[in-house]
Amino acid sequence: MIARMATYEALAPLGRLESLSDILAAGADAVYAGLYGFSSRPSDADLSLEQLESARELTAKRGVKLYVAVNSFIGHTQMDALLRQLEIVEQLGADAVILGDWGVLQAARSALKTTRLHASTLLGVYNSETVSILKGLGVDRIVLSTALYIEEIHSLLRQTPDIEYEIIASGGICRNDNRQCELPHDGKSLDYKVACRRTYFLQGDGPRRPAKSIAQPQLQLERILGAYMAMGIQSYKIEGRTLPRQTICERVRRLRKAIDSFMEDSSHFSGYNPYFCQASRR
Amino acid sequence: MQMLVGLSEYQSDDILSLCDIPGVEGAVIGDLFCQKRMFSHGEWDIPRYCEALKKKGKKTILQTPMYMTPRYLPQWLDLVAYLNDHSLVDAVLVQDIGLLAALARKKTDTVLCWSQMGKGRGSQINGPFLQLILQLGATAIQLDVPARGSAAAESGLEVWQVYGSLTYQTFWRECYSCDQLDQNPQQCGRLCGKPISITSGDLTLSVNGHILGEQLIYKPEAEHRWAFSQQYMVYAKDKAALKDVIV
Repeated sequence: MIARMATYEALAPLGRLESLSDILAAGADAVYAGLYGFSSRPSDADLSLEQLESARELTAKRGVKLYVAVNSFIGHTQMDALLRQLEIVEQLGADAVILGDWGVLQAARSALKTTRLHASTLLGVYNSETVSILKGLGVDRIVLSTALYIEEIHSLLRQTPDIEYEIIASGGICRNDNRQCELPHDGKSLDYKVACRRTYFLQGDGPRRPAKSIAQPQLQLERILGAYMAMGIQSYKIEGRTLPRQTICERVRRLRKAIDSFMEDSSHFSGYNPYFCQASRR
Repeated sequence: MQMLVGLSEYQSDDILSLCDIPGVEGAVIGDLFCQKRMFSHGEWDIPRYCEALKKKGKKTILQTPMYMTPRYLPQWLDLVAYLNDHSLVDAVLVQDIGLLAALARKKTDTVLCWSQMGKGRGSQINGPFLQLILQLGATAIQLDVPARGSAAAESGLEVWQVYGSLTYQTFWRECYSCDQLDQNPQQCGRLCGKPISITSGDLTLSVNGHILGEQLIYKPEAEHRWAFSQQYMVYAKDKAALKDVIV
């Protein structure tokens, strides 16, 4: 059995307040919601401060954590307004804010007293030097870039183990550079489409032909989750604040089951997984 | 104000003939993703090209790659150290916070410039971010919008004005050309030089020069040199295109 001293979190997206009860019932340990006006998702997949307050009441009752994501990039003129909202988010009792802008991170550390800081994938963390800087800025958790290969993740965790890490375990991930993709992101939440999911055609020297998909296939780490758990990654995120409630709940149940099964019995796994053996010796 | 130039691809004699263009004070060497795309001998050409520029008395600006993973960070630190030791580099363009901090700790005279590719989707910059890169050791920043340039200049950073967005042709660290054309990236044959267009309806995947990046976008507001910028950097696909866009 994997040591209980470590806790592994199933982190679910919350795009609509009315989905919250079902998501919690499905087994989420934590939920994350976009802060209205400061998120890169359609605005109807974000929560206002009032909705966040309601979400906090329900999550607190169930012992579930609430994270608030700010993943738009902030210019000079928006900074003060954002910091005022983050202070309210702290008063509401959110457990953490997920920040995707280095300047906001720098400013939020001074503005927030108790709320934990999570560094979004949008910060582009690829090496332990960057992890050290984030630690110095008071960051508690790093959401690893989806562009990292598994051996690179292992190397990062080995070099800087004394901070929490999160990875995307389920859902769509960007195949483009996720910090800088300027492809159109269209639509409201339920018909939200990113341009990379369209069908494309390739026009080169020869005749026009269908192009290979440019979207990354939906990521489903459940079957190999133990490798990441044994490496020491604590949080497993389900992508997709714009997804329908049923889809989110189904993914939460799958992830919950995978985490629990690896927690209960990892013996079938440890025999061939090098990361597990190394983590077990720690 | 000094003019620096950068090409998407260098042929062997380009670097010398660039030096002969009136007004050009130096060149940007190094590809954001794949050195095989920029140079015929990959990264082996970097010191050679820097040396050629230096012999002509020109400035050399090293563009570091995008993904400074545990595998590549030590390699690029070593390369910069080598170029420093041999006085072959004047400035390094970085877009990775960790690399910036690691280079700053070396305490050399080389200028560390926050690259245009360090921007996020919205291309926004704010005061705390400018202060952070200053604290970490950057003394300059590449920008392509005057409104952001004035704020950066006020913060104490040198502004290096960019004319023409940088381009790339990779997807999630992989070569998109090789992927689409079923080519082993290790035997690439520089397929990225081929004209390839990926379309879906009215959408062509050259967005601000990103992704398939065959096109460079020249913003009208960057045609004129800004009073507060110290360097004027012009990027072009090749030498012929450069002559067309130098203003």
